[in-house]
Amino acid sequence: MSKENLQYIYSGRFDAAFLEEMYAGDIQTAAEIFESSLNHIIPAAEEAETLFVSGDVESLRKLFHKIKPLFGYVGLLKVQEKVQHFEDACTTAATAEELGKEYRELVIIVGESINIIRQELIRMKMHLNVRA
Amino acid sequence: MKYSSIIVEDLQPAADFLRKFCERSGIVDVQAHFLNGEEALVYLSENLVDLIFLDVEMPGITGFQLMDQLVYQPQVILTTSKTEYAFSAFEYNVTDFLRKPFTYQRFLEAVQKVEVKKQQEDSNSTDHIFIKVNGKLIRLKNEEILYIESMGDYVKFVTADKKYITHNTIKNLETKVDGQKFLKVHRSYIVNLASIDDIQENTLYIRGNHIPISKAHKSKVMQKINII
Repeated sequence: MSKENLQYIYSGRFDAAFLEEMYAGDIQTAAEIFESSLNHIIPAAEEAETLFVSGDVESLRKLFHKIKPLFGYVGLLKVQEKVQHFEDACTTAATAEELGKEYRELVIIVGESINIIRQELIRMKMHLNVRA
Repeated sequence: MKYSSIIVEDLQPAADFLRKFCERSGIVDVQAHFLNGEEALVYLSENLVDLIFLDVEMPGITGFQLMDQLVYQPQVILTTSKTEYAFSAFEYNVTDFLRKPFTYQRFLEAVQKVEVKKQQEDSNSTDHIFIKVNGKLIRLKNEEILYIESMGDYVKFVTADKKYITHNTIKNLETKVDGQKFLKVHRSYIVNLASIDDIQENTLYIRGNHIPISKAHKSKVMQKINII
């Protein structure tokens, strides 16, 4: 098999069919989007903590609304749905305390997502190196 | 045909992703990307584009507020991650509504809708319009109409020798009249470019009638008239 034809297989935690449909085997582009998504999600997660502690629910909602599609771009569609639920909860919650349990759960999910996106990015880069 | 477009999107990876799709399609040319609506409006006041890929929630004005301030009507594809905006999108008569993230296939379907709408607009571009006055449909040739003035829920079509009042709005007519011959110069006025006698600062004159030019429409007027 030639190096150029080497096919990339996404890890099981990602929606591989969706990623295939989006990137059509273009792993270079997929890696670029994974990387830029990561570069936005990490600082947003840090900012979210500040907003939650200060009780600024509307800014928290806006922040998660903004980063929500990034989980879709990297094929974590279930995480995107969870962010959507949290965003909806923000619109009805009167105070940040009401969101406490959901927020803490989401923080854990986002943290895990960051790790698996990072790992997948390393895999993709290795794949591209092998193909080069 | 290649469509000129801009992307208005505050999330850089989403804009990068969309730009890749446009490049892959070979029929959509992205002229610029803006992270907010205000900067996009400045660009659009000086440049004509066929299509806007528009996010809704952004810092500053929303995508809907941007559409309210447009001085001409390019096609719009809304790109948002919130399905709740679908109804408003329908009200704004946007060409399509893409929920982020979307696949290349879904993107192509949206671009096909742009093509269909463009063909419909081209075929609607005739040398006349019909207006309903007192239960009668009256045919008005484009060249007869000097200007159209808003009167609340009604508009007045002014010709050289007659005035016709009909139930309609300037906003609706803006998309119905021939965009090559007519131009909205103020929220209450659409003028026939061929009828303009002269322009002095923020007023234009047609057969002795004074028509104000709003600040938002001024640059568009100056672009459209043939200044030597």
